[in-house]
Amino acid sequence: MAERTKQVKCVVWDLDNTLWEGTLSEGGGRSLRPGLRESVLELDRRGIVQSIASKNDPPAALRRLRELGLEEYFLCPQISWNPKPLGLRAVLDALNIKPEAAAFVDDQPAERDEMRASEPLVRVYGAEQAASLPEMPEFQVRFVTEDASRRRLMYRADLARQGAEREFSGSDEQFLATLGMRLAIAPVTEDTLRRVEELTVRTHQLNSTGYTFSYEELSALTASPSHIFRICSLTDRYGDSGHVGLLLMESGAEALTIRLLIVSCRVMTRGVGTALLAHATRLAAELGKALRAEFLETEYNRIMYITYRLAGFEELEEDGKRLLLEYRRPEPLPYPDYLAVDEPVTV
Amino acid sequence: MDTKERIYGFFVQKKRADGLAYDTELLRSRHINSLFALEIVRFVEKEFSIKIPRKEISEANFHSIDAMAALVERLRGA
Repeated sequence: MAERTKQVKCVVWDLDNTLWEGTLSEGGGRSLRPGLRESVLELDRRGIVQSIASKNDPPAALRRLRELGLEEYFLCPQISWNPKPLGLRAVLDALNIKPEAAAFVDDQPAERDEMRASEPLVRVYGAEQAASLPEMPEFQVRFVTEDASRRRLMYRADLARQGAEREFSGSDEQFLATLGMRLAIAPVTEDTLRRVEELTVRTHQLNSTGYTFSYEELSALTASPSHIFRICSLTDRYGDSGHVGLLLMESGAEALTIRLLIVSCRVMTRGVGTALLAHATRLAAELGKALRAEFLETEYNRIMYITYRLAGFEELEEDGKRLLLEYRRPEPLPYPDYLAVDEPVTV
Repeated sequence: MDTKERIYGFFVQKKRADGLAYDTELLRSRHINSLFALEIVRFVEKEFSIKIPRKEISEANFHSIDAMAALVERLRGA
């Protein structure tokens, strides 16, 4: 279980004299600064999403990005005359990314200072560092998974779904029922291990213990007879969200104990955590064992604690920040109505 | 507005108030799912400017609007 530099998930770029040469309104912006096309493409390949915060005329700036062949790489670009921290905040809200996982690149010291003052957790870089971002430790990913290279497209589908949700007039659940969501739960295998490692490193808010494991440790767990290890993927009519959740359980003599429950923040309002918990309660019932869950309080994961507690888990033991919870309802949790679940037939 | 009315108002706003009374059992009914459970905790903390300690996040304190209102009043009085 290793402590790592917290990975950047989202880079927000300035345009004039940062991404491209010169100032667009003064006839600049005809070419990108050296090495930046390569940087943008490489970050994208690694699954680090990108956006824009630039003080410019929106149609002109977007047209130029299109001419430079880069428009598709930037999600919800913020081009306006507003302060950049507002733009960055709008991007993070739309993508559900925390400021500590964000980076901002700008050539102007005053803009960087303004960003640091209002978003102290955002990592800030000057234009001279822009081409070397892919070499910095905080932009490293150990593997480029299939999920990573498709991440931008998944975020685009998320944005389309959010747009539809804003238009929808019923309750949240009624909206979810319109999505035609399917959740496939499957045992973790060698094929999905890299994505498993990525989820453990990237997810903080919806992580029950914050444990991260090395690739070798994870590989050993898939073969362990005393562990049940599940990964799930989600699709709906807007597209494929990829692998979005993990459930690692240790099977003891009298209890099945959840060591790790992780749900990707991108899908946090879509019932995946509840479905994985329901799956765990069903397995425990099938095995005739109690269901327990280890919970390790971190700075971010209170939301996971609430999920457990209001789904019927009670505190059994407390040891500092480490808790052991136990499921106390007589019957397994039902799967949410709005989710079609495919689960493995047997334990 | 009293505490219960303010909490009830949130259910109305979220279109979850059909057939809802102050003593309706919420956690195993259609009125609360796990997603909404998180929202209701956040709403109560913000609306009443309180921080709910970990130990108080329990089924007993959230199973009905009556129970939530009692929790809020207890925490505000403390």
